[in-house]
Amino acid sequence: MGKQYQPNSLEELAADPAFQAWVLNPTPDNRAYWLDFLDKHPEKADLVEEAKNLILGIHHYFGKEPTDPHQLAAYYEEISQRSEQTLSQQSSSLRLQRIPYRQLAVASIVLLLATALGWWWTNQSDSIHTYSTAYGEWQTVILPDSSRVKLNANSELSISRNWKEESNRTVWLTGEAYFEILRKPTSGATFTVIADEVSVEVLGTSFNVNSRGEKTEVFLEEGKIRLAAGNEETFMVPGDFIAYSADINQFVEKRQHATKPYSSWKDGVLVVQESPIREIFNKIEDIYGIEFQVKDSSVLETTTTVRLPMDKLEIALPILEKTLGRKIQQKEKRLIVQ
Amino acid sequence: MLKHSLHIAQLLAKAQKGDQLAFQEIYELYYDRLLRFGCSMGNSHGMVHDVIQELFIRLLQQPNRFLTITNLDTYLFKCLRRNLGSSLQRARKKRNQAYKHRERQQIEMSVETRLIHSEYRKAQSAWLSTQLDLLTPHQKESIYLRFYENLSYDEMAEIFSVSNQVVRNSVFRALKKLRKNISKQKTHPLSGLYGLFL
Repeated sequence: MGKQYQPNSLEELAADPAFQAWVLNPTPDNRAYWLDFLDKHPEKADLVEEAKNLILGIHHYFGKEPTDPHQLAAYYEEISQRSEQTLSQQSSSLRLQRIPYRQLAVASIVLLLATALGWWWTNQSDSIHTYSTAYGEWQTVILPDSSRVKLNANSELSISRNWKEESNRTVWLTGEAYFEILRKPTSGATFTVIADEVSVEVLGTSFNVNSRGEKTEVFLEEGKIRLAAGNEETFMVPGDFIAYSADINQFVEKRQHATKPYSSWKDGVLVVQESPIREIFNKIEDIYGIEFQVKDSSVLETTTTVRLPMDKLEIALPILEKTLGRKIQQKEKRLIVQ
Repeated sequence: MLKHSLHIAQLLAKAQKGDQLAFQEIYELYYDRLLRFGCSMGNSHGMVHDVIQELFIRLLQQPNRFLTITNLDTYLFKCLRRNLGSSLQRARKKRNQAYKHRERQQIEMSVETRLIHSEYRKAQSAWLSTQLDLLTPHQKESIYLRFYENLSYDEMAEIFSVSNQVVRNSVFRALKKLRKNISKQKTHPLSGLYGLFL
């Protein structure tokens, strides 16, 4: 935001990004700035009001609902396919005409050089692309094959830059993510998630992987997957929940007909059913990047059920206080449970 | 704002080196902006969508052209505008009955969805909308680029292929037309909102 200045015209004020930011996304900071401005220049009040109405009106007139990210990915798929189709059509119609051998020879040499250069380039540039989220933030990643990955807070997803959808599709995960994988019926290409010691291999399906803490947990919502960890291998059907411990190289928990809560975070809600408070605290710590301190540790072992928003700690805390029946004091990154 | 344009510059550099992911991200960042711009001058949603698709297909097929881009905003807006012009002329020439029918359906749809999605507008800024409706298509696109996209007059001049002064004049004329009516609306519900923000 600039220094105090004197906007002289409606046009100047309405086009000022700082002014627009206040009108469209008011925050305590920019509100304070513009209130101060109005205090010092009461004669500009009419101008400010007029500009504000103008900006609001223009945004409502031209604004549109943003296109759904999934839909956008499908649109992109369409153009990348169509660009290849029309290219091959163009080259086949060329073949029907008289063949210009000389140009063709030159072209093929150029093409060879270009391919060699291309090879050199791809091998030069770093080959891993990483998406990561901070505390209290989550992100939807659309993979080159249009599969969707919703990345939970404080997590990281890596994919190879020369990811080929025809061949095997592999991603690496630390943290937690929810996958919606598109099936590739023509090539039968599988999709593999590697999280710590566990690899999940799928054909096309929706599932949740959580590799925080000492266990890696996989929950399958749709489709069928093959789970390999250490020397063990198992197949999962929808509703199955499996936890694997790398310490003892074993599957430590298998449950059938498990329900949604394992993946509810993808809708921005943390749902934990009948679990020890200790586990609930761990999850909240992972999401918000905070730390619980408990005076009376007996509270940690009682079990309970909670539903909390994942992006608003100020709302989550009062709910948690009510559930626990205890006051929680916040000191910066520490939460002290009385 | 600055951070945003820096990100786009980095994406462009990556895409020009042949990074498909960066190219896709550019597409996804610009699709909605281009759609709004195309519709701002009164084109139907369906037609603008088709033109955006063709524009990006051409970019994929002719990387040489893509390499010369320095400012993505002005380049893409300018191309879209030119291609919309030519496809509008094509549509007129053909006078294809089926095509016209489809167009009309899409226009009706968008009016309907607009009504559903904008109770706010219906109640509070319908008056400004009717005033914006009265502007010419060129005035509308000028207002859109200046106050929605926050482009500079130089960038707009580049997009419209006219001088900086001509763009200024047309924005001022459009504002004057709207302004007559904004100032009449002193007692309008929107002015109540002003209190809310404070």
